[in-house]
Amino acid sequence: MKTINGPALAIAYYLWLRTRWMLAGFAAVALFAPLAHKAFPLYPELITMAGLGASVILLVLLISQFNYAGADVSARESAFPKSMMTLPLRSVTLVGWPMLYGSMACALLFLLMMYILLPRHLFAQIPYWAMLASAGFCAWLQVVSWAPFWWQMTRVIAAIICLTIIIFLGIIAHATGIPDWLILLPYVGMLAMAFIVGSKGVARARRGDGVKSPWSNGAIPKPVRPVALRLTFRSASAALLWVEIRRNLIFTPFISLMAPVLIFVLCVFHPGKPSSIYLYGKMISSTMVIVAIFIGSPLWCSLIVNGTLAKFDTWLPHITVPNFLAVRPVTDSRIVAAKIKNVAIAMAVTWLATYLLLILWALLPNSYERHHSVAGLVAAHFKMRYLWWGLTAAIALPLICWKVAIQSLWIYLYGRRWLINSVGFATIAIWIGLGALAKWAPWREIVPFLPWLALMFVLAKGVLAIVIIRALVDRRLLSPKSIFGWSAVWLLIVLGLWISVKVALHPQWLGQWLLAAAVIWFVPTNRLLLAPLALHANRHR
Amino acid sequence: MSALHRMIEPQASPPPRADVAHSAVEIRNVTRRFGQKIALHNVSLTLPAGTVLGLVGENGAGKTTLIRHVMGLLKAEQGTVRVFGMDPVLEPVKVLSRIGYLSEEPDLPAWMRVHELIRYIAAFYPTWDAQYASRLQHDFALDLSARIKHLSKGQRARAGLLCALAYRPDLLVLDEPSSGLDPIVRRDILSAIIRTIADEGRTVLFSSHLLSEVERVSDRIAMIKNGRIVFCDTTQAVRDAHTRITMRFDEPREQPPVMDGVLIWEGRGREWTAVMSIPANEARLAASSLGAHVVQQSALNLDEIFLARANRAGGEAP
Repeated sequence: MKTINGPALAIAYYLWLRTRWMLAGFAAVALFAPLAHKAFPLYPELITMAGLGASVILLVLLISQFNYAGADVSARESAFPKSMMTLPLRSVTLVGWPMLYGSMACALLFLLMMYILLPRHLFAQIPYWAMLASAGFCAWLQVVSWAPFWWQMTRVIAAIICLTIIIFLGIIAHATGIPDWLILLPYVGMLAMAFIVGSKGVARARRGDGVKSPWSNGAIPKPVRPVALRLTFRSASAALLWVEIRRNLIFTPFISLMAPVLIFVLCVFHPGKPSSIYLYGKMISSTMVIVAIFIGSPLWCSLIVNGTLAKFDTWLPHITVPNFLAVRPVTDSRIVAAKIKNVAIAMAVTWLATYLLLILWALLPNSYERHHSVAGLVAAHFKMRYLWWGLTAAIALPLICWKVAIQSLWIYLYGRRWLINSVGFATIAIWIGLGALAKWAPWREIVPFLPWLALMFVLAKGVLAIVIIRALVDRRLLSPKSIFGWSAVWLLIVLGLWISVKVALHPQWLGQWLLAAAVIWFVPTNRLLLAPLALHANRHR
Repeated sequence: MSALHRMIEPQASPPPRADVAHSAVEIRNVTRRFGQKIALHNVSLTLPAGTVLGLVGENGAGKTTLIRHVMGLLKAEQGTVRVFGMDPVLEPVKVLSRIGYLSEEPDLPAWMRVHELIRYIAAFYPTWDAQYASRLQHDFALDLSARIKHLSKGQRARAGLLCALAYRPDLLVLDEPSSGLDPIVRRDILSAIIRTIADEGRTVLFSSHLLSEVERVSDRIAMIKNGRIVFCDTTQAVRDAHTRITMRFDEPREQPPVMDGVLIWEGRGREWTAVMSIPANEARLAASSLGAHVVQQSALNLDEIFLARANRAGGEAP
């Protein structure tokens, strides 16, 4: 067997083993994107979007590997692998090489995206500061992951602050007209700083320091609070929900409110009216953009948080059911029910906070124009039907987010890494396929057949539902009796939604039957039914 | 119970069959592969109710895989697993509510405090005995306000043990529970097993490397090797079925003679010692048939049997 000489090569080999599939993915994107552009010259945007989407997913996976991801990110302790801490190497070596490799990989992959994926007419000159920003992004994530912290959750907050500074520094500097070469300087400084801070952090973690604040040293220990053994959970479901809320609730509002809070703070401290945005030949008011960010942030979040909501602990990387839960006498359906409830609470909290922030922003005296608030504008044009529309939207938005989040819980509940890693690419492929279909399809010929296509779709969904229900009954996850109950509930929801849309919107362009098909398509069925089945396959392997 | 739960809960299953009601665990011809590796090969094992079965075997022999099948954490690829006459995969609620489980790594949520852990676990078991839990907590000197992650390994094992015992399970499954623990915690675990036995009719299945422990508390012992059950019998029967004899031949020998049931040969020249998997009288007869004189004969303890079996190539039963 060949041996590896030197820490640089050994760490490179270790990282190569962890990242080779992602690097192969990048090589595939780099190879196929130009070929696809040549083969399908009419659809450059689609190919660019597909390539960029795949590259972003690969980049996220790659950075997580350079981070040695695998520990509790909410904990105070360093996430640097304990097995590496005991190697006979200095901390600067342990930190320096993976940081160098990670930064270089991110910088090179950024260049690859710029040169190969993006059409050159989009930018006059490659923003090299952005290349350094992507390297800094990786390096500072390493720093934050590997450093010990005094308090729980500080790592998450530190990561958000560091990454926000890295991203916005260049953007703001570029927007204010500072020459690109000058923007490079702070990023070089940031990279050097990352190496120093990272080394110090790992050195502290190796010594076992850094998890207690200086103020707690020598302080008189708090007297042990006598705790009575009270049994307060009414049922297993209540206990399951309690754990869900404790570990998996906060993430969604946290991620979702980041952008709105930032915007709100900027609006409070920067009273001038932001300039409008020119998009696709139209001037869009900054007020509209801000409202779109407020509303869009939770919507976008509901698309991506299915993983953290389905996991048994958001802050841990594990996707398998922990033994601690797997050996409890509780059905898979009940565990899924607790998760669905938790998602509902998370969405309710997220939207309540969003609405609150939106109302506060609307009350700001400059939210619409200088000396004019949005609230004032709304009050001046108030009509009762606007209120009803607003209330309907306010109720519908959290429900839509809840629906979007719960229908994809099954992906993580299945607990197989291959599925989780491939689902992003599959989604991109589906959207690209739909985009291509929208351009290619002979719509004039297709339109008369749309009702038949809709019927076929409804039938396919029904057949699939029968197959899944049968699997659920076979595994005793659903009793035959309850099928009728669920079917009745489902039918009521579909009917209620159909009547509501019909009465409220009067969609003349969409026939009654097509509307019914659209409602059936919208109401989650099969993917939701898959959730207990996926958990069953994860829990009983 | 809420309407939602009434809807998702499966219907009650038929009661256990009468012919299996007396067995706590019944494993029939279970085979399990992980990729190319066969972790369990046609394993059959019965654990009568009210007995203590010690499962021994080397690392990677298949002990944990077998236990995970009993707990329903793994689904048998071939064969059947029945616990109290029910399939643990199809009937997790009915089966797991009667099993107390403790593994080498108790896998407790590090962020929970001990009192939260106890409250949480209690919610799953209708038979939870709060007084008993309180007594165990007192006996184990567990600080209720401490976080699990701040407990020592021994205290964590004790917390796990409390959670496994406080609902007085009919079957206690312990997967190498005392591995890496100090003698005091090991004593606690052993006394828990004994206490469980004392609670009439309860059954214990436990795996351990510490054979003296197994020997002390087990009624039956099963040895697993390369995914096969090598033997499964009462402790006394296992001891009786193994013997060590030293024999002397008239002429010096280069190689030991060929004899059935020999696990290990040691010696040279005229004097050879065999560890055999046959009773003492049969071993004497076999030695005589080869023209050897039996110089010494002794019984083996479980450690010696384990070592002899482990050193023997292959995993087939004698």
